[in-house]
Amino acid sequence: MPLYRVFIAILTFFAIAASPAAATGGQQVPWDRSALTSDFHFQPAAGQRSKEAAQPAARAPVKLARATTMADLDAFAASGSWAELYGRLTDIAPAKRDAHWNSLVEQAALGELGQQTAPGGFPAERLAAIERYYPKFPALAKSDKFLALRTKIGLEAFARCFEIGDGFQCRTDFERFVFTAPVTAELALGAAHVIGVGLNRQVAAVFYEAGLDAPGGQAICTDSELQYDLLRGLELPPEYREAKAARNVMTKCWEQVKGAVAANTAKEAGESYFMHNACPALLEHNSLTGLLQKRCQAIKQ
Amino acid sequence: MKALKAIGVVAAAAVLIAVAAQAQSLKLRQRMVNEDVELAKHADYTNQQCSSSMTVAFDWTGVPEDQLSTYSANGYCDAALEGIRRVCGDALGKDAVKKQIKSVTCGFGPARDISLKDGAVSYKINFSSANDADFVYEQLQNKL
Repeated sequence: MPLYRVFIAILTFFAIAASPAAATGGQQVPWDRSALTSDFHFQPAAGQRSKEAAQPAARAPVKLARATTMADLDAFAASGSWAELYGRLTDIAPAKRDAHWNSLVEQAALGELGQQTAPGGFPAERLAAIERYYPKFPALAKSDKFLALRTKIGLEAFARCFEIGDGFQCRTDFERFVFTAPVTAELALGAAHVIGVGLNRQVAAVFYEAGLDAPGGQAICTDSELQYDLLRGLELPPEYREAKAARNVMTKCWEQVKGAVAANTAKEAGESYFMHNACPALLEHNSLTGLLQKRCQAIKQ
Repeated sequence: MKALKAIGVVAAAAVLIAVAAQAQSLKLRQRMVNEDVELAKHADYTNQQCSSSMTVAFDWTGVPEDQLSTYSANGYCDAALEGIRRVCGDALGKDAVKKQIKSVTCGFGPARDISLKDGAVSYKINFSSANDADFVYEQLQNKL
């Protein structure tokens, strides 16, 4: 408190206290007792409230009088206090972040994100919860449990995002989410289905392509939706990113899709984008006969 | 006397049935003639579009007579011709049709089918099928 305010307070107090004493001949003297040690306000003005003060109490980390130890983190984990555990994880010095610390990171992520699996909810909130953990804690990339949970929550959140949000923005965020390494076949395949239904079938090829490059991704070739989505992707102008992805998927899954591609080519009239995308592969594999072969050859030239 | 009367009734009934059958047959024949006339117009249009000289005709063998009054046979055959006309949509297709299709016969079968042998297209109509022009177009793309 500034010194001048102390003087004003003392002078004011004595001026007020002196009046009743003088009027009653010293029989009544106002009593004073105070334990206040700093400025007091009943209600701070709205503009004076700090952002920290506006945060929910649950988010405010508990202040420990000493440095956080691994035992403290164990205690948070044991009591299922995931938000507190998350808040304290980085208190541990980087040099001391061992396998046990990584397991605590995993526990916190699984514990907190596990609460996000109920239907409904806001997509942005769920994605923010995921991104608080990954890629912030890279060790989680080795946790199959975390990756599976991230896939489940993320895909559900984006399906809802495409349903209620801005499709363009959702797609941008979705690609960032899916293409954050490691891209698993399960995530990429699920992403292809989500965006195919939520936004556009022609876009799905981009995600199938990413999944095919992931471990175990070749199984994607037998997916029941892939053939249809691939044909839609091949209908786009050849220079489009989605068309390039569709051609890559066609090449990698040739045995599974060749019949559908050839049959769809026979439906085309004239020099369509589909023909431009499909003909090179069809000719390379000698999959055409008759007039169709001639038409494809004419396009290739 | 009674016997004669009975024979007379039977004979009269037989005559009536025969007359009715003949009338039915005439009606069917007339219908087929009308279908042939309409098909000829579609054939002319197709030859005009494809710069071709193919002949187009019905093979009435096995036609489901009961359905002939319900469905337009020439319309179903023209769907096949429409498939051919689509093939003629560019120079390559037009040239292939001109050189390789000399005749089209629209017959009837339990399932829709098309074959091309020695310049003769044999198309089997099935009144339950749909998108016949697409089917013919796709088939000819590989067969021509």
